[in-house]
Amino acid sequence: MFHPLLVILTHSVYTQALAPEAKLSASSISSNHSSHTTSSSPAHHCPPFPCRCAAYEKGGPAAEARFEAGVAGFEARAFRGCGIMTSEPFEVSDDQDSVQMLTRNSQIGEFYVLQPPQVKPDTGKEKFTCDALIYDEESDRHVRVTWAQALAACCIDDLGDAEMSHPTGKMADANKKKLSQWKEAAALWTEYNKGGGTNYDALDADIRIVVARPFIEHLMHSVVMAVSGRDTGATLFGPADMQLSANTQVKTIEGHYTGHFKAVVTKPQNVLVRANPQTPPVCCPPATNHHSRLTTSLVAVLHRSCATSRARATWPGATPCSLRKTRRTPSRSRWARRPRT
Amino acid sequence: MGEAAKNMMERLSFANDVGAKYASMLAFPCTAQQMSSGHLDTVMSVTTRLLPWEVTSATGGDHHSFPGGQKVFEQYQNALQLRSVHFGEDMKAAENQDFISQAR
Repeated sequence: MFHPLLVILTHSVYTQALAPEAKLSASSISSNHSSHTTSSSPAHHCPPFPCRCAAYEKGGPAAEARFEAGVAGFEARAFRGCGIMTSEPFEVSDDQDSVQMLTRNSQIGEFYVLQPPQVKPDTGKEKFTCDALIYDEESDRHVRVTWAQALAACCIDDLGDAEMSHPTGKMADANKKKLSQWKEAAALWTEYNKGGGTNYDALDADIRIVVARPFIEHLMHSVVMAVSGRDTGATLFGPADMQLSANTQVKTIEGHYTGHFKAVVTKPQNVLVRANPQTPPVCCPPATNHHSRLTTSLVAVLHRSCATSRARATWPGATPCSLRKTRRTPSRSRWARRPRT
Repeated sequence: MGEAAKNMMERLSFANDVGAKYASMLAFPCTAQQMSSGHLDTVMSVTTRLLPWEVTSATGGDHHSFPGGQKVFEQYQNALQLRSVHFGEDMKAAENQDFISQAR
C-alpha cells in the first residue's frame, strides 16, 4: 500500500530543503546528484518549483516558511492526495545540453494494415480503393502509399516460398498456402486498384499488407513513485568542504564547494518506476494511439503519431519516388523533434 | 531485398550520421485470418525476440504475431538480417534483477 507521495528526483528536493543559501538570496537552488560532486559556484542550478519561489525577495515571508517546512513545503498535494514533485532539467554546464533525468528517447514502433475494399465499389470507382494515407513528418503531410508500392516492398520474389500460417479461406480451399500464391492474389488487387477490369467477385478480399515503422522514436517522461519516510531510504551526506581563494590578478574571490551525497534506497519494494507514461506536454497531440492496428480502405487516414517521432514514408527497398521528396517546413519548430527515423 | 537489408543496417548503425535521413518502413504479407486469430491484433515483433505470450504458449516459441507466421518470419529474418535489430532489453539488468534500470 503506497502512502501518497510521488517523488521525482529526490536529490534535488533534499538539497533544496537543506541548502541555507536558497532562503537568503538565490532564486534557484544548487543541486548535486552524484555520489561525489565538486562544483564551482555558481555551477549547478536546479529549481524544482519555479512557480513557487523559495527566495525571500521574490516569495516573501511565505517562501521562507515554506523553505523551513522542508520537503513537505515543496510538495504539491493537489493530485488525488498524492504529494508530487516535479523535476526540471539538470544543467550540467554551459557547453552541454541540460539533462532531464527522467526523460529519455524510446522507440515505439507502429504498424498499419492495408486492406482492399470489403464492399464492392460502384462501377468506375475502383481506382485507389486499396491505398492508404500515412503521415510523413519530413514533409509534414499525409502521403499516399499505394497498394502496388506496399506489395513491391514485401519483396516476395526474393524470399523462399514459405507456407503462411493463416492463409485466406480461398487460399486454403485451393490448398494454396504459400507466399507466391499470396502474391498472385495480391497482384490482382493491384490491377483492380489501378482501375483495371478485374472482376471484384473473383478477388480475395481477405488479403492484407502490414506496413511497419519499427524505428519511430518518442521523447518520453518517467515517474518514480515511492512510500514516504525513512523506511524507503535516505540521502546520505559525507564530508563537505568549502574553500575560498582570492585571485589578485583578476580581482575576484572564488568559492569552491565539495560535497559527498548519495541517495540510498533501503527498501526497493517501496519504490515503483513507472516508465514512459507520458510525452512532454508540448509534444503530445491528442489521439496518439501507439501499437494500434488501423484498417484502411479508400482514403483511410492513419493517425498522426506523437510529434517527437520522425517517421518518413520511404521504403528501405524502394527506388526513389515522389514520396521521398521531402521538405522542411516552419511547422517543424512547433515541437521539439529528435533527428530519428 | 538486398537494398532493404543495406538500408536497415545503415539505419541501425547510423551510418550517415544521427540526423541523416533513413528509410524507415517495412511491408509484410498478411491475411484477414491472421488479424482475427488473435495473434496479430495489437502487437507484433520484427526482431528475434518473441512476445511474452508467445514464449509461454503451449505450442512453443514461434513468431505467431509476425505477418505470415513463423516460416515467413524466418525468410525475412535471413533476408533483412533482423537478428541485428536490438530489442531494447538490458540483459545484464534482467539477470541481476535490477529493479530500477530494468524498468523500461
